[in-house]
Amino acid sequence: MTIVTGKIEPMGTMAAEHGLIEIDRVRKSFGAHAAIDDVSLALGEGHFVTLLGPSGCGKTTLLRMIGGLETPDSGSIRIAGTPVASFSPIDRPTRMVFQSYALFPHMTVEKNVAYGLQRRRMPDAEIKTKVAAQLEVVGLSEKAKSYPSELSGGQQQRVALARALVTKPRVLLLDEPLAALDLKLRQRMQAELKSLQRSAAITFVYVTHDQHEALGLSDRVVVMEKGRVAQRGTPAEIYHRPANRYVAEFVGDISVLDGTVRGTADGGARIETAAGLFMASGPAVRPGDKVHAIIRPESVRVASGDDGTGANRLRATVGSATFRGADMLVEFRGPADIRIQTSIASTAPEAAAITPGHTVTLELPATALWIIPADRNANASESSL
Amino acid sequence: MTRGHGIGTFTLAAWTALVVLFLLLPLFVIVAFSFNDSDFPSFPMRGLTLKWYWRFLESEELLIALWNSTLVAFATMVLATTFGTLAAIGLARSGSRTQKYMRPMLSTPMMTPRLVVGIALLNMFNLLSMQLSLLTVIVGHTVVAVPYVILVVTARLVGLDPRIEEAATDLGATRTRVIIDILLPLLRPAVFGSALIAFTLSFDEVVVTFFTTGTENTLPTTIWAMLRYGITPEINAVSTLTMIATVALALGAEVMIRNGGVHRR
Repeated sequence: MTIVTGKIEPMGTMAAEHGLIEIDRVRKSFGAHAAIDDVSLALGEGHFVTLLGPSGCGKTTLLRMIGGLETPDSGSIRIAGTPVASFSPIDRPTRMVFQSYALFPHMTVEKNVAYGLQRRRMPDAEIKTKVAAQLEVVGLSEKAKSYPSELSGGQQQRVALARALVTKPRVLLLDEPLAALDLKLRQRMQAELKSLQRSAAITFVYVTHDQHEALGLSDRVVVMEKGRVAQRGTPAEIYHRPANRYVAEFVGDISVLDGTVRGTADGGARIETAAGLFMASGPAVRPGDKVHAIIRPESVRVASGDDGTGANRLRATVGSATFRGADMLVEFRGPADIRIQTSIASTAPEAAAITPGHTVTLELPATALWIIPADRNANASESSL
Repeated sequence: MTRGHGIGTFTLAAWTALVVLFLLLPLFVIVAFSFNDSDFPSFPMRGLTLKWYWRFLESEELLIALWNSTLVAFATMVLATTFGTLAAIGLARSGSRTQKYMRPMLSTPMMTPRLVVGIALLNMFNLLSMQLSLLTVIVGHTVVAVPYVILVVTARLVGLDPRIEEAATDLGATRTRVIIDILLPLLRPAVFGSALIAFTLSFDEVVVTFFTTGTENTLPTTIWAMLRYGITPEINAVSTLTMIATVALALGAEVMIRNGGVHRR
C-alpha cells in the first residue's frame, strides 16, 4: 500500500465515467431494517471497485443485488444496459465468490470448476481443456482430483475463484473473500487477486470491511454507511480528501481541529481554532462556517526550533508514544486539549526527543490539513467507535 | 480419587446396570424361549432347539404375512421418503411464516396417538368408498412415516450452507438442477437414513394396520391374532427374527445419518 503523502491527486471524474453497472435509486429492506437506502452508483468497466464499510452497512446486500441473488424493493440495477432481473441464469454477466467459498463438498476440485461450463452445455473435451487451463492459472493443477475438504483455506479460495472465472464473467463479485484467511495468506491472496483482475481484464466488485485491503487493491472505493454511500472515489481521494468525518475516521487515523472559517483563498480557507489560525485546503466554504480540519498522522511534522507562532504551527506536549516497529505513533496534547497524532519514523533524528512531557513545535502543512464541513458529521461520532 | 467419589461411581454404575437390565431383560427372555425345547415358555429351559424357527418357515400364514409386511414396508419407504424429502426441501425454502405454521401441521400425524390416526384413516377410506386392502395400509403407514422423514431431512438441510445452493444458481443451474446436482447428493445420508426409519416404522406398525387392512394380514397383526391362543414358542421365534431385522435397520439408519458429515464419494 503506497499513499502519497501531502500531495493530492487530481479529483476523479467518477460521475462522468461510463457505467458498466448502473445502480439507480435502489432501496432494499429486510423487515423494518433498511439495508440499502436510496443508493445510486455507476461502476466503470475493468475497474477493481471496493464496497467498504462496517458490518451492517449494506455492502453485501448491494453486492448480492448486483449478482441477482436479492431483488431491490425499488429502483433498478442494470449491467451493460440490461436490468439484472431480465438475464437468464446462463447469460447473467456476473459471478459471485462467497465468503464461505460455497464449494460443492461432494465434487472434486475439477468438477467444481467444470460445473458452470456444464450448465452452459459446452462439449466435454472443451470443458476439460478450459478447466485444466483455469486450474493452472490459480496454481492448483495437482489438486484437480482432491475434494474441497482436503484443501487448505487458501486453496479453497482459489478453487472458488477458478470456478467463477472459468465461465468468463464480465463482472466478478467478491463478498469478503479473504476474511477467513490468516494475515500472511491474506496479504498474498490480495496480490494474487489484483494480478488476476489485471490479467483477466474484468470488473471486480469487492466487498470488505478492511480499509487497508480497500485502499491497497482498488481503483475505486465506495465507502458505505447505514445503507447509503458516504463517499466514492479513488483510494487517494478517499484517504486524503474525505467528504466527511465518517469516511475520514473509517479509512485511517486522523486528528481533528474544530474551527470557524475566517477567510477563504484559492482551494483553501483560513480557519480559527482554539490553537490559533490555520490555513487548510478543501472544498469551498464560506466565512463563518463551522468546520473540522483533519490531518493524517504521517502528515504532521515535528518542526525544529521552539517557535510555536509561525504559520500552521502549534506547541504540543508528548502525551503517549506507541512503538510500532517501523514508526512510532505519538499522541501530542496542544492548547485547549487538542490532540494531535503523529507518526515518526523510528530512525528519524527527532525520535530520540520523544519522551512523555517533552514539548515540541508541530507543523500541520496547509496542503495536508483538510476541511470537512461540521454539519456533515451528525452521526459520525457514534458510528466511528 | 476420594473414597466417597468411589462409592458414588459404584452406585451410578450399579444403577445404570439395573436400568439396562430392565430395558433388555424382556428381549433376552423372548430370544431365550425361542430356542427352548418346550411348548410352554417357562424356566428352567428344557434344552436348545431350532424347531420353532422351522415351524415358522413351514407356516404358510406367517410367510404370507411376512411377504405382506415387506411389501407394505417397501412401498411405504419409497412413498414416505419421496414425499418427506421434497416437503423438507420445500419447507426450507419457504418463508418464515409458512414454516412457522406448516412445520407443526406436518408433524401432527407423529404426535397424534396411532389409535386416532387409525380411526381417522378408516373414516376417510369409508367416506371415499375405498376398499380396505394392503394399498390402504400403505397409505396409512405413509401418513405415519412422512413426518419422521421430514424431521430427519430437515435436520440435515439446516446444516447445509445455503450459499452452496446459491453458488450453483449463480453458475447457471436451474432449480431442478440444484436439487439433482447439489441438494440430493448432500442430503443422501439423511434420505437413506430416513428411508430405513420409514421401513422399520411400517414393518412394526400394528394399530394403524389393524384399522386400515382388509382381509390381508401383516406380520405384526398375524402375531397379534396368534396371541389369542397364548404366547407360543413360534411367536417367540418370529419376534426374535423381527427384532434382529429392525435393530439392524435402525442401526444402519443411525450410522448413515451420523456419517453424513463426511463428504466423500
